[in-house]
Amino acid sequence: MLESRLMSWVTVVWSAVAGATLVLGVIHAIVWFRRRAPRAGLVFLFMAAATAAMTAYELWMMRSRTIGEMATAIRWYHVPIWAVLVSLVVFIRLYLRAGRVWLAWAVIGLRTAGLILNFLIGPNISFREVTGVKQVSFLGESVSVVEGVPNPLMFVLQLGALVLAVFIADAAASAWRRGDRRLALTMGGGTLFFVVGGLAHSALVAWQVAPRPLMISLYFVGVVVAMSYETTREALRAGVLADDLRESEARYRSILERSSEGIYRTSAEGRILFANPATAKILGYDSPEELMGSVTDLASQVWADPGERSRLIRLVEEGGTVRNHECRFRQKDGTPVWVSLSTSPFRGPDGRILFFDGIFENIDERKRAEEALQKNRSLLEEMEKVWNVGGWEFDLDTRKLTWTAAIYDIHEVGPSFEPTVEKGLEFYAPASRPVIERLVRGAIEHGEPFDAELELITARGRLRNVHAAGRVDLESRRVFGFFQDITSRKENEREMVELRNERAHLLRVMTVDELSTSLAHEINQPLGAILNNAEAARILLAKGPGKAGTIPEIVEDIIHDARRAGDIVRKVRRVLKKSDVQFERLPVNGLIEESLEIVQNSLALNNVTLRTELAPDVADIGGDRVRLQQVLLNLVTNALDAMNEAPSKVLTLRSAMDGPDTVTVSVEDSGPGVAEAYQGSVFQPFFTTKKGGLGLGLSICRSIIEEHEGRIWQARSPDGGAIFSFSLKARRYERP
Amino acid sequence: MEYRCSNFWIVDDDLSFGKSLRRMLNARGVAAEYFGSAQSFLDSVPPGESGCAIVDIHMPVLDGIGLLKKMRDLRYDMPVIIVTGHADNDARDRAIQSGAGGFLRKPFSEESLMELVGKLEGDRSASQP
Repeated sequence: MLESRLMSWVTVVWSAVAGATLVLGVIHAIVWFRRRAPRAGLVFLFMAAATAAMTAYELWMMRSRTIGEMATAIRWYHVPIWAVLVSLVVFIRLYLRAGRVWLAWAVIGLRTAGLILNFLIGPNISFREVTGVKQVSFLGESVSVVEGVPNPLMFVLQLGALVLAVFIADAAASAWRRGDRRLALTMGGGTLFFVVGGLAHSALVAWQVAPRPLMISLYFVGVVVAMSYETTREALRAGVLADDLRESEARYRSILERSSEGIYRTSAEGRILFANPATAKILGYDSPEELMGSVTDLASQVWADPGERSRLIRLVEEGGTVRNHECRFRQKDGTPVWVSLSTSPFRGPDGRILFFDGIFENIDERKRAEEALQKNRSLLEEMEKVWNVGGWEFDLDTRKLTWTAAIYDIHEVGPSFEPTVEKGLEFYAPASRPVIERLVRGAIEHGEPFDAELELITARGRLRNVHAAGRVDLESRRVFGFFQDITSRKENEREMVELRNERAHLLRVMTVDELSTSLAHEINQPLGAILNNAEAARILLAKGPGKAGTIPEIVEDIIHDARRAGDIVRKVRRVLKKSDVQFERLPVNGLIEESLEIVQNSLALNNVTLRTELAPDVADIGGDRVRLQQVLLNLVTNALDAMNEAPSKVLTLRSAMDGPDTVTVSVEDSGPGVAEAYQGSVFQPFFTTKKGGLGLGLSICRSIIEEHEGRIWQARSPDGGAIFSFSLKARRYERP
Repeated sequence: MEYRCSNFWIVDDDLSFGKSLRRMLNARGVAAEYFGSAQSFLDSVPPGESGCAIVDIHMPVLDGIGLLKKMRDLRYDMPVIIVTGHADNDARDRAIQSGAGGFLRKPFSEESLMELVGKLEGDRSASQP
């Protein structure tokens, strides 16, 4: 009862030691099995197992009852010791990466020789003879210890142990020198301590100096723990490294996977070795796996232009990294997509390119936007050119003025001209400058919009009419507007005004007969030339074909003159044309008085007595002042001509209301009157009784009055003279 | 000595009329030269030249009547035919009074010109001593 209780301590300690070493060994074995890498792990397992075995033999020895049992136990005890020491040597070689090889072999050789001798001679190598088994008290319990005659061959083992100590010390020293000081201390120093301790203990027991149980295993547990500590630390560090690695890998993976840029690695032969999801997405594939699986030839499957890849590879070969290369890829369904690509080569040791790493982004939208922008720009430029209109912008903060190309052209300055407000103002003609200065100041200082037609003198000294308008945008802090060359429009307007003035002038100073006379002259010139040319042609033709060479030239001239005549007619028609009539509200009496002022001199010269019977209540009429004056003047001139040889010359002008809506004006002379036979034809064209007249005057008068929706007629006065009258609609209110 | 209009000097500011008249005369085999102004005629043709002048009445600077008077002053010995496109009545009178040999309104036919020239030659040869 007591004995079994005491026995349990040794059993517990030794079992615990065996268990611990086995567990450590198994753990290392598992690590080794999973990683296969450090062979030291396997050696450690071997050593741990051997240590565990050692404890088992020690327990056996401590519980041996007979001499034979003790001797056998000691003999077998040497096997795990051998295993432990050999594995220790190997472990130190592997783990410390130090130790002289010949020393290692010496240890192994001596210990192996000892082990062989152990089985060949005596009961074992420790004792030549086991003489007894003595019970001693150990850890408060009674255990068996050996009694016997020490074996002199033991020195082989002890020499091996000594060499082992030297080997370990030497290895530790070189590790220390190498810089692995901690390793040298724990592995070298630790194992050396326990090895020396353990072997000294066994030597003492073997030489029967101390009657103790053999317990080298306890020392080797120290070795195992020291070694385990080191390897665990190593494993821990590897674990931390692995964690770091995992973390950074996760980080990079996340970057790769979330990136909107395609990131890839391709082989020189044209396969995709790696591609991130963005690469697949840009190229229209569902996943990188699908992409890598289906693309076997990049040049034809991914590049829109198969030749482009080899061109890019040439660029890379020449210059290394290529950045922001814009090119077109082909999507899975064949749709081309614009990308901007940067790539660099990865070369093998022989300098040959093994693969390419690259990154690219989809710039299709940007390209489209660029194209749209380019289209817009060219449209704008075309528009500017066609309409002579440009745009400008003035930044209120930077005071910078920007012009589009058309404004440069309008100013006739080159593209190197740098516009400023001050320089811009200098271009204006003296009359326009104060105006534009006031407008620009108003816009810049008070935000007032402007819109004006002004005169400009270009850099080449040409006068131009421009239409300038500006508007202020306070949000973007700028004044902007357009600028248009309206010179040709202005010229047209001027021409129109001139034409109108010319017409007014012509009609005022000339009678219709005079007008038709000058028209006749203008037309007679080309008619004369035509006739001459036609005569020349006729003569030449009559002389025979030999002389007809110049006929085409003559015909050309005839056509030219005929056109000229036509142009003259057109010009006159334009002067007199209906659409040009300027309708306005006119006081009838005022119109009559104005006309009389023009003929006053003629009246005085011809001794004509003028009578006016103008009704004060006569309504206004709507009409063209100049043309109605022309009618009046024509009628007055006719009257004067008619009275040329009359004994008394009286001219009477009347105005009156004829009903509520009609105004009548009449011109009466005291001449011989219109002969009965001509009564019906005076208003016909080319009817005339005058020598030089064309007979157009009254006919034109009738046209004018009819244009005014009025009526003109002729009557005989009570005195036998002629009365020419016309009536027009009264106009009491403005026309809507 | 019988007077003959063997060649013509045309003075008219209307280029196409002047050219066409010269062309017509040339076609008939008659020499003719054209001047765009009275001054260029005076500069090129000296008073001693023979021939017959056809002069437009309406010309800027020096008109037809002015040229006629000047030719008389400079003692040109050639008949002058005044031509005009105008319809004014007194032109003929003014021309004849100023010493023109003849007067024609544009447009005129070849026959009327030749008829007039024939009459001038007859007049001249008759008045010759």
